[in-house]
Amino acid sequence: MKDMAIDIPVEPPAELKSLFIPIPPEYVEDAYNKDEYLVLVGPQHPGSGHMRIILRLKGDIIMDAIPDPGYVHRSMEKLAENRLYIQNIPLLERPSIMDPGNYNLGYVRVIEKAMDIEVPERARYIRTILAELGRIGTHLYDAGILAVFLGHTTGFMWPFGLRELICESFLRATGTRITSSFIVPGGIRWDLDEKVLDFINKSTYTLEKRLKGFERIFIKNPAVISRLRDVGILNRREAIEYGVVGPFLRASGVEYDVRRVEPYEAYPELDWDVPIAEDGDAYSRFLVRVEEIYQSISIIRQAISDMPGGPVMSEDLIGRIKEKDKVSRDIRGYFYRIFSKLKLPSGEYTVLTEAARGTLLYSIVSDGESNVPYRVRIITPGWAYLRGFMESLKGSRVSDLQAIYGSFGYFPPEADR
Amino acid sequence: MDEHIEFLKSGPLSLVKRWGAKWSLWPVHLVTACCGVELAHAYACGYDGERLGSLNYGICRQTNLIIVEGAITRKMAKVLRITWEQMPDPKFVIVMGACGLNGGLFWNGYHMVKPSDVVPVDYFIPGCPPTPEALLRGIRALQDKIMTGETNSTAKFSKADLSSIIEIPEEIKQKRVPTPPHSIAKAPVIQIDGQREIEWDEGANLIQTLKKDLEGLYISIEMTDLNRICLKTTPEKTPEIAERLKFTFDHVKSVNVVDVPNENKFIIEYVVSSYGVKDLMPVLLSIITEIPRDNPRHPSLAKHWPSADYMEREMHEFFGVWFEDNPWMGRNFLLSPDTPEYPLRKDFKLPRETYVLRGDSR
Amino acid sequence: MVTIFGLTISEIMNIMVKEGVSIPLIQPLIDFLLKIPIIQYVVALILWKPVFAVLILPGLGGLMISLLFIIWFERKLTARIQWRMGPLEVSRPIAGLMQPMADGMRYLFQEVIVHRGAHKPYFVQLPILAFIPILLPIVFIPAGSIYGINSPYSLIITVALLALIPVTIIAIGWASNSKFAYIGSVREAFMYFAYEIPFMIMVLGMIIIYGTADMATIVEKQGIWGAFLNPFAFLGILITTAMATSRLPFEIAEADQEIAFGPFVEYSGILFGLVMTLAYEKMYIMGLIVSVLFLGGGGGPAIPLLGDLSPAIWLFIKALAVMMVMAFLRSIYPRYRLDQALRIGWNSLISLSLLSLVVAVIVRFMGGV
Repeated sequence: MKDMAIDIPVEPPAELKSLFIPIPPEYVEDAYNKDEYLVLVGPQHPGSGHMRIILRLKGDIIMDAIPDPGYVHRSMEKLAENRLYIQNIPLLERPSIMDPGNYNLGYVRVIEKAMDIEVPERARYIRTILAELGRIGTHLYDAGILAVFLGHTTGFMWPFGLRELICESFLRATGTRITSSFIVPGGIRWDLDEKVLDFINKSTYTLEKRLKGFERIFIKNPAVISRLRDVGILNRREAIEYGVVGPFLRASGVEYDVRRVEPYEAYPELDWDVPIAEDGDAYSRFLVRVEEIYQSISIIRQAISDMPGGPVMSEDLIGRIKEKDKVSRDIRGYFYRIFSKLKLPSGEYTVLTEAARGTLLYSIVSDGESNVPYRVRIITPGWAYLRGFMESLKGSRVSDLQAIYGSFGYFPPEADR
Repeated sequence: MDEHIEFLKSGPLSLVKRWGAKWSLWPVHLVTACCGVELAHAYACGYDGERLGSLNYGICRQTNLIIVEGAITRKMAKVLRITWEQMPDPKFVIVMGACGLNGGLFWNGYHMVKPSDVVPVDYFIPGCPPTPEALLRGIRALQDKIMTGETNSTAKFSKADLSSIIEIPEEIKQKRVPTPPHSIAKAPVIQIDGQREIEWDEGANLIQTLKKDLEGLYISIEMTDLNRICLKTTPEKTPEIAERLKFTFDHVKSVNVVDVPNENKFIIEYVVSSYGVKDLMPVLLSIITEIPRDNPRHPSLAKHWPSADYMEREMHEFFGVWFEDNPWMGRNFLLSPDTPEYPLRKDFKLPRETYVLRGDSR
Repeated sequence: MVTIFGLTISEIMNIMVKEGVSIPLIQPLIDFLLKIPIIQYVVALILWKPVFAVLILPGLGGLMISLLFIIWFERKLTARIQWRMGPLEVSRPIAGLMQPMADGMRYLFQEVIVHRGAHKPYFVQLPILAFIPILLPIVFIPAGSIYGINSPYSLIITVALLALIPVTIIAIGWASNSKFAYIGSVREAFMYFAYEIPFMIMVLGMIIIYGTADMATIVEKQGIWGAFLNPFAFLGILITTAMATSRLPFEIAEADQEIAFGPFVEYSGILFGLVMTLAYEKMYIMGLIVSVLFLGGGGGPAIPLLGDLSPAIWLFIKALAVMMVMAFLRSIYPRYRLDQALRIGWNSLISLSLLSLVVAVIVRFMGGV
């Protein structure tokens, strides 16, 4: 093919200048001189989310993939430095709004760790339920996106129909469909009554039944299997090297789950498995997450049946209120008085949480005097596995881009923060 | 009345034109932020936007509606404008979410733009995020606008003269605007490697092993919390440390920079951990160095730990720390080229909230 | 006296009325119209069988009706499978049947953008040129006694003309001058060879069975439907129909999530309306051919009230049924990758077509039909 290559100086296409492509012109020239070409996928493309991927193609094969993230960079780390600790709860749940339980939990646990707040047992169980509901919801969301990327619209609609159950559960439990901001330092905002827990319990059975149908039409569909198997392989060594997280790491054979490694909330008291796959291809990344949905369903059922009684707010915090001001046992009555003056002791506090798509790291640096954080560092799972995602693209075909994209469930608002 | 509605209302075939446009509002697949979750729900089987003849479609050339899903960043604003310009007339814009309305939760962010500054907007749908019902209601409202040519708010406000009912006491009227509840230290002291006494025997052993392996390369190795170890060193020794550690601590969980302007330094922190060794999995080892604020250069560790690469690029954009040998230095990765320089430094201030007194008409 | 080809107008009228479509149901109306001056010529011309075949059934009129119906049906069926309603509010009493009409009206009055990089003349005229290979085959497809041209080679001509459609699509992609359009065109070209060769082999098999390439004779000879004579060819042709009309497991050339409608990425307004319906129009022609070859063509219980129209209606219904089967595929399959589809084409389909050829020879030697 060397003879075929163009020998004249190549002028990079005009769109590369006008679209603020972050790649140097030499790279473009080099690609065109080697008989390769660049294709920009996104951000306005039916098969990309809120990001651009610059593909360097030779024929049908992807030689190189350069990400262009930041289209949804909403400057959260800076904003968090300017707000009270309690105001940051809704802010720091926005990276991935379909997974509010885990994102709230991660941030709130930093504050609890720094201030040594003991959380009552009932609150820990309810937090676990919310986190697992978010996990199911996110995995269903990603399954739907994967399906529509493969052109399977039914596989998009059914998980989104099932997600309505999750949204309804959140609605009944917390009052909103997705952005609940329900978990606060020291516990949760209010107690869930039996009716809500019963609804969540029943909806898990519906979910399980409907998932079987989804399995028939999408998961076990031979055409789907042929699209996903042996595509975008990350072996164990590569997955570790590029710092892949969560279910995508477990699909490559590494048994790492923060819920096991550094247990929190009610997880050590419940009985569940960590699904592992060995292949590291797109299909095992998908199957691991499907299996996690079943595990989450089991966790929710156990948590509901083992639910202890008692308060849902820590006495450490409630105790700061004078006896005559106590209007109710939950936090609604005196929210501001407890939380507006919250101050963390000086130092750095780092807490890991297993969000739906992987390890979520919140790191807060406090100076010990201000009631706003000095520095907040958020590493979302999407940002952590972006490198692995790009590496797994190399050597695949153009059509595999969407299959791999969907198999990673890459959600740019989460990665860009 | 804008030109698109005017076009639809003119001519003898006006009725057919308006009927066609009304029942065929196809939103383009331009997902701009997190409200896309509820947009997907509005078109999925729970709410089924296709009932209204509205079908989510791929490419801007073939559609006539943009649903801006929430926050628009500086980078996305250009894309929004280009997409809007590529769409054939007549075309419409609906903006979803509080962020699209006036910034919402991110109103004072350094990377945010209001969609109404970029494209002409037909309808705003408030909410964070708006429910699918609200979105479909917005589409209904747009359909009505196409038919009648007039923009009508779907929310009705009744106006009442409160001053006749409520007497505002004189002392409240004269009270000044309250100060925000934030209390921010003037000269904060940042202590990241504060040692704490924890009962953690494996940690003590691990620190002994590390001290032996990294003889002469560190200033101090301390236990800061359960499963957290802090290694303090100088910048030029970090590549050697990375070289020795990379087989046990095989990936980087976070690269962090803390700006301490009153001591004129940046604290660079690499948080590394292990996937390969089971016992080390819960341990997070922070490698801390300090560099001067006026000449922030630090050797890049992306060669040893590829997982640090994108985080170093990000920190370079946020703080202006130059990670030597990282090929992406001096270029934009996450931020738009027109963003203010090094926005996460402490001397870049965001606008603050203003608090107004209730009942204050001044 | 005005003469055309040496015939006076009244002689032409006589020919047209004698060879006109007779429909007992509306015969009084036709008789009445034929007495009004001027209008009688128009009515006689439309009812003249060759013109009727091209303009009404199975021609342009059938094409339009099937197009509007199948797009609605596809969206509605997909919606029902996906637990939702599908297009509805535009016309509630008839379940949103007007939806494709509304979309068409919107396209018609939308701006047509011809972008800077496009090869302008071809970009604009190719969508219209693509109609030639779509409309011409209809002339040769017989619906009972209604047909345009009767030829002993009608099947071969139809298949040859159909093979021109992908060429126009490739040209559309070239004129668009966009990378996605180029990729889509190349994919279309690859797919073209993968399905066209098995398709032709299977058609050849059916010609061997019937001993003729004249579609009218083929329909007459089908005492037993061709689908039962040669089920392998029937199955194979259904798969090639899905491939040729980019139905979902093989919607590769215009994969919207991958390459954004491939060759059609730059089209807007009514031009996109034209190119988007190309695949459906091709599907209609393929449906007609499948009905003629395998489902007994216009055969079926004759409806006396409809007269000559009865076989045409049967043919139309059979073609619609084939299209409905194709529409069903959308909701159960994702799309294959190009190399997988090519493997299916060059391995499985070729084997299937060769098998059907063997079956055809056996049937022929067993006595044929």
